[in-house]
Amino acid sequence: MIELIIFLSKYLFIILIAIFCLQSGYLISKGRQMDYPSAENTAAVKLQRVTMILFHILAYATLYFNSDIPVKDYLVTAVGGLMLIAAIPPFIRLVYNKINGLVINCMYFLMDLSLVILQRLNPEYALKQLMFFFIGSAGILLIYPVLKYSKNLHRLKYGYLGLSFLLLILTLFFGTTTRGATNWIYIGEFSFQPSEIVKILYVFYFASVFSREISLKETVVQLAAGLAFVCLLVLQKDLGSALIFFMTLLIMVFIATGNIPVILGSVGCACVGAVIAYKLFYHIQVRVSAWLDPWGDIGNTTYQIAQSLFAIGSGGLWGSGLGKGYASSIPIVESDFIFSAICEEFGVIFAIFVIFIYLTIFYCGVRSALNTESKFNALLASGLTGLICFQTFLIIGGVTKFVPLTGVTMPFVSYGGTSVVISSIIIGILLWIYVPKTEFSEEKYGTDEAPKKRRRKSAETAASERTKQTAGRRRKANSGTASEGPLSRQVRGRRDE
Amino acid sequence: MNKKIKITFWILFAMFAALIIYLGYFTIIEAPTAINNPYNLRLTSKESSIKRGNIEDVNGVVIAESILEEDSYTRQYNYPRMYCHITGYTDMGKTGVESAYNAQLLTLHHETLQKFLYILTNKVFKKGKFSLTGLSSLSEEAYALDFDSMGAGWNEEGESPGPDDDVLSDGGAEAETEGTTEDVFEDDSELGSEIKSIYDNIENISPPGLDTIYSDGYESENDFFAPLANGYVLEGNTVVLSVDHRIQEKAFELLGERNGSVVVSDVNTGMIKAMVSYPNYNPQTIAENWEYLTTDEDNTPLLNRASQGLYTPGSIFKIGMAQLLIDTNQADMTFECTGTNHFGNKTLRCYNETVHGHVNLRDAFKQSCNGYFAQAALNLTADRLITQAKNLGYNSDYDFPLEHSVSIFGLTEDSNNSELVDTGIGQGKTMVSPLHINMITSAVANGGTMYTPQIVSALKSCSDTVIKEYEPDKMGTVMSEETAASLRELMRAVVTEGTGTLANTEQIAIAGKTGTAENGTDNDHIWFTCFAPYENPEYAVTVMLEYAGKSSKAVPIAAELLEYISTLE
Repeated sequence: MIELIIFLSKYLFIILIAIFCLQSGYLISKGRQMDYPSAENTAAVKLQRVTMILFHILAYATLYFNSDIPVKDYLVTAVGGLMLIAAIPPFIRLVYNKINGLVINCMYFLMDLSLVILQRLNPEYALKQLMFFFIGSAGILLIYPVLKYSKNLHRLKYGYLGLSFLLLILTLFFGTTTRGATNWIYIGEFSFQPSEIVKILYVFYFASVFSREISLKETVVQLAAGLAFVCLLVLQKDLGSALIFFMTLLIMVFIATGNIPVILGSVGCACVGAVIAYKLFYHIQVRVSAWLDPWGDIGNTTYQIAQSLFAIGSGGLWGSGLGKGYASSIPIVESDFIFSAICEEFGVIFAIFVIFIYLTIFYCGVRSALNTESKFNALLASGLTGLICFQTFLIIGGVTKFVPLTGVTMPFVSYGGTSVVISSIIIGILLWIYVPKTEFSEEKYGTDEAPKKRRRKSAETAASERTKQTAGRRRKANSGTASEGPLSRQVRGRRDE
Repeated sequence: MNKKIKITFWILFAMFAALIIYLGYFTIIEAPTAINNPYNLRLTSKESSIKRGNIEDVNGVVIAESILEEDSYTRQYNYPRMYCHITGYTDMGKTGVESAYNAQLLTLHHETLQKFLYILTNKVFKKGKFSLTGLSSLSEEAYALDFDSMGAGWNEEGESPGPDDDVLSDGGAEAETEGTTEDVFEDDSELGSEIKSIYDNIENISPPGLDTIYSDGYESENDFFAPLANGYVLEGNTVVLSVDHRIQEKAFELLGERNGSVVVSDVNTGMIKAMVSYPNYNPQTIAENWEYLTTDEDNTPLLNRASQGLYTPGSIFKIGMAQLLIDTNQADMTFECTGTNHFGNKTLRCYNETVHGHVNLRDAFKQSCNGYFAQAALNLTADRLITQAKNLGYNSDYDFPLEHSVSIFGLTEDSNNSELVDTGIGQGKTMVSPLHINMITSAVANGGTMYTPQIVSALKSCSDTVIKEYEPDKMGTVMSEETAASLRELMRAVVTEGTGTLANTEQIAIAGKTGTAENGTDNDHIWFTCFAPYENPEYAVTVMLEYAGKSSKAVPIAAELLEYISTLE
């Protein structure tokens, strides 16, 4: 009988994640109402959390009864994981003014998936990952008060830059090389990647630079500095980070200035740079040829991507079943290729739903960028969302041969402390930007508009009241086509360049 | 700014949408072929946990099947040497259809349903003996009974049962009168009566696979629900060859022990009806004979001479030359053959130095006059020959799942006249496989379309549901209908009046071309490629005998084969 249940569990997983996504869809469809605490929202969010808990229980039950896998430490991660997804999300939601439980649920679902798949792949890692998740959750909780009480984040331009340089120099001198990239620092037993922190700091830096009107010349200078940093990353052989950083930079410049020629110019420079890098570096050539023909040299250069494709293809649409795949044949399966393991055991249909969950998180990130009044916050939100969005795209595209493979991690799912903590912090910042700051006295920036602050505030609450009523008609907030009166135009006037 | 944010993220979401579509595309369309790769360890382990599917001929005759022997499946070839080059082997790596269709043979059709039935009948109701991930040892009930000592099925002379003896139905009764089992049952102990009760029920316990070993004939039971009685067996898909066993058998018999090959195909579909090559080997015993088989350079038994062998075409190349003459309106060319003809400083002899005299295309073709076609080559020039060769598929690969060679056409624009003349009569730097010649002959027979040769006609599930039927695949049009008709006429003349009169049978009208290819020894390679019936062509037969020389039987083999085929419909 148990065999039958294990056999059917494959389909139950797909049903559960489908329900989860449907619930996400429901919450999204409520539009702006989603952003405000209400009994309705809370009920829906709680229901979604129940789905998540069911998934967790079913997964661990399957793992337990599946005698193919040795049973070790199940209890700790099972119970620990349960605590993580049951207790932490409501707490976070509480701290963040009860808004948007959706993105928190999505995040923890991915964490739970990570625990389950790591438990199946390598129980030791699952335990460590659980610890990282708790640290990440602590990070999210800490972000709120830290950011709430730091008033002038947008002014700290060079502070960010300085910190970044410090970290970079640390890496240069104290860093260790792993898999060809010198971007790890070991403190005792723990390792972290400073380049990940630097990426966030740079987003802060660019957000603060572009949050005021700057001339074309300064834009170009900033871009050039950014491109220089990209080159530095390429030289460090951290191609994934370089690409992500470049895209984030491009996104932020575009959103801030909308200057198409500049954008095209930098894309052109990047293409030139890419071709030069291709000609110069053998490992880039290897990656590109593996992308073009993964079956050509399986014994040597295309081994990783070929095994990944075997796994995805063998699992098929419905998956081979949790514990019944051949994950041991996939290289680096706990971090870079974890998506392949998910595709193999849970099925491609399940994996596509996982992509939907990521898209939901990004969607919420975009909402927070659109919702917020301050230009700095908007840029920050866009930059950070773009960062994890593009990173996710790169790794999923890479392991499925959609784009050439780069060594980046999948946020929340891949094993790795830095990855988890950084991703958690990013979501924390996005959540903080999301919170309607009606009670903050000063969060806007703009010298010529400071005196209008108070009037704007009342106009703002009036405007938000109006849009609340028209929530059903509009999915995204604050579109440029204002149907309200002159007051709202004033509110938007500062931001619509 | 909001607008820009929206634009940016719409673009990013579109990228993800493309990714999702690609993922779906890969899984549904590319994956089935992509995972059929020796580097994919999953297939290897799948082999030990499910029953590999059958290979059958077009009418359902089982050519290869997996049978249960103790704890694992072994591959049984019912006509080992007859089909060895088509099926390939499975024990020392894989070749042939076993390799090309490996993934299909291990694919469970309606996998979910099969696995569900399997779990239901083997785990839930505990009837069967296998687990999904490996075969556990079989239960005591069936195999603790030592058939030898109990005398089940042994006849009075003490000989062991052969394929024709029906063991199970007679075993019980015969054994009881033998006396051996009486000894066991004399003992009235509890153990004895227990054994007796199990033995009495032996007819009802039929371990999976046993009926396949001992039933007469080699048909396997394909009733969907029969396996359920014993616990469902997970079985892969069946590969249905395009080959017709009756034709294959006849061709195998006719080729006998002559080095060479025979190819029979359907001219209108490209489906191969028979393909035999000698020397052959026994795929059943490939492991034991591996050393010998792989190092025997004189015989190269593992080589499929039909598709992999490359030989000088000799006179059958004249089919292509005739096509060129017709297409360039030079079909009215004539020549004075003096037996030994000179072209510049090149001397060319016709076969046996026969003086053919004043010949036109028809005469030259049916008599296979070298002089005529040598002159034709000079008239046509190398360029035309090169284009013609390319048109007919020389130097280019085609889509065929078995191991095959690409025909070579070595003539270039810079070649001198001597080489041009040689090429014109089918010598020179030209090498062609019997399969390719068969493809060209089929094109002539069906009016100009060359079809990709196919060895597999369909895929079936283990319960005989047709999953996929392969359609004829047109490679291209290599000549016009009129040209093809003219060529057919010429080829008919070869059989009725020319060098191929041994094929002039009453039973079926054959049209073809003989060929003698010099190979540097005294015994030339002998070709005969033909099609039949002349009026409404259906089959193309190509026979190629290595080093056969004057006493070759190529033409009679083809004739007898086609006569036999005509009796089949």
